[in-house]
Amino acid sequence: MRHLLVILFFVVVACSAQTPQPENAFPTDRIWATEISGDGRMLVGTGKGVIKIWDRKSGTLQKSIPNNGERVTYFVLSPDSTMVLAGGLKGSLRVWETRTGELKKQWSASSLTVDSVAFCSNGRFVASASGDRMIRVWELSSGNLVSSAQHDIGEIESLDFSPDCSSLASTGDDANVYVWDTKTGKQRFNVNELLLISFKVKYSKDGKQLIFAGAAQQIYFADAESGKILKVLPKASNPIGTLDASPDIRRIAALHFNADHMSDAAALSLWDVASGSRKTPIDDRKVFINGCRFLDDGRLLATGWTDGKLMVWTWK
Amino acid sequence: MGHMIHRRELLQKCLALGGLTVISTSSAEALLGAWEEEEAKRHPTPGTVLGPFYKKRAPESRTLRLANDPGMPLSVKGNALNTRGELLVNATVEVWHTDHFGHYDLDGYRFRAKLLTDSKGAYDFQSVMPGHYPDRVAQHVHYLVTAPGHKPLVTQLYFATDPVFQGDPDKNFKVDPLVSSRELVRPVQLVGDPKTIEASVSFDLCLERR
Repeated sequence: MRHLLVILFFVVVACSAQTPQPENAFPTDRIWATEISGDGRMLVGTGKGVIKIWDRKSGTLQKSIPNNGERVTYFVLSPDSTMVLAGGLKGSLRVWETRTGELKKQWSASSLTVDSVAFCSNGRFVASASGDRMIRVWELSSGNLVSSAQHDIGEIESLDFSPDCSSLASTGDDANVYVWDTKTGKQRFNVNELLLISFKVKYSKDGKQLIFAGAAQQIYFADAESGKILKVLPKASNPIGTLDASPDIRRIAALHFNADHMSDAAALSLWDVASGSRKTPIDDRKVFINGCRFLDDGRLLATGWTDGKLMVWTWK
Repeated sequence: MGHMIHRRELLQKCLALGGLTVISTSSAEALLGAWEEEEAKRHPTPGTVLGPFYKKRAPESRTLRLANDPGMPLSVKGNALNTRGELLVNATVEVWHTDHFGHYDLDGYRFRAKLLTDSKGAYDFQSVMPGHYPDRVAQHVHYLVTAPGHKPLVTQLYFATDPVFQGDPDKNFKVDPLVSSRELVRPVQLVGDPKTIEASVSFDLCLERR
């Protein structure tokens, strides 16, 4: 009996080490994805057709904004976190003010599902990708279409504006990464040497690199002007659904998913870019990790959903 | 074997015997050509999503199945053609699917292939029945078909024998929301004897011209 208790103690300690205790947990129904403000004060999440906004420290639900009965398929926070842009299952785009929850603008990108959206750093432009494989850049103040571009085949997975807003990167199910001119929609270049699909593309904060990852289970760094691949991190054990880079690009946080069971919980990995070494701070099949961000102060914040709670972790 | 009358000959015979009357400023010959072209028109194969696990540069091989692969042997054949009914020679047909256990090979190219249609626009490959996996209802084979001058076709092949259709794909094909059309659910023929049994499916691919 004593031996059993000792073994159980070590099992419990081992499990605790694998999944650190969250700093907070908010009761809520299922949250599929979150966005986190740069100062870490605000968490924005979405379930089926609602955008929810929490104060991270108090755990208070500040706003619960219905998306007019339409399921939210993708959403992002504006760079200054004052607005949230959501795309819907039926093709709508809506922008709300995060402080008040007021609907600032709504329009239709197309009649098809919005697969991805992005906010430009100067707040002037937003972009949407739809089921017709079209990328559309919109002027936020007027809702006017600025430019458009199209992938030849496959759905579009991810969009990101360059920090100076002159370019827009996209990834799609054709396994290519494209960079477009924001104002003309003309293709600048195409990274086509990848074999598998990238689910996330992101510009580095200085705008010099493109960082992307996906089914290849690897993280790629490419020159943002030419598309030349500069570095590839060692392979992980599961596809990468989304990622964030620290402002100095020394660390990458990646959310993985299980290729055989995509809606299953999967791990959060943390990479040291220089050495290529990887840690897995959270790898718990009971926790659905749904968001991560390097905050302005350099800390990493991650969120996960389990048992009717949204949990929050931070690491220095 | 008797003489097989050509469609054009039949129409000409109808015209000669009064079974078909032409009221037009165009010649009867031109109108017969237009009739034939109209009748040969086909609608494009319905498209569906490419999915997250497409992999470029699959090997050119018609044999995806190895000797000891678990699962029901599967043989698929069909033609690539366009909406005018023209057969597409040297069209590229990329296919990929899970193994018997519902697992996609991301590291290598198991159950992935690139095929070229032959001089009659035909393609075929040997594989195993794909498995089911969580998050996706129906067994399926992914297709990406490309041919010069034509829009790429992204579609999926489904099987009428899939248990999820409960024996009635007419009624139940929508149990999988990604099955965009009943016509993508193809009948399955069992061929061979019990020791060499094989599921055989025919699936034509009709592309739109650009």
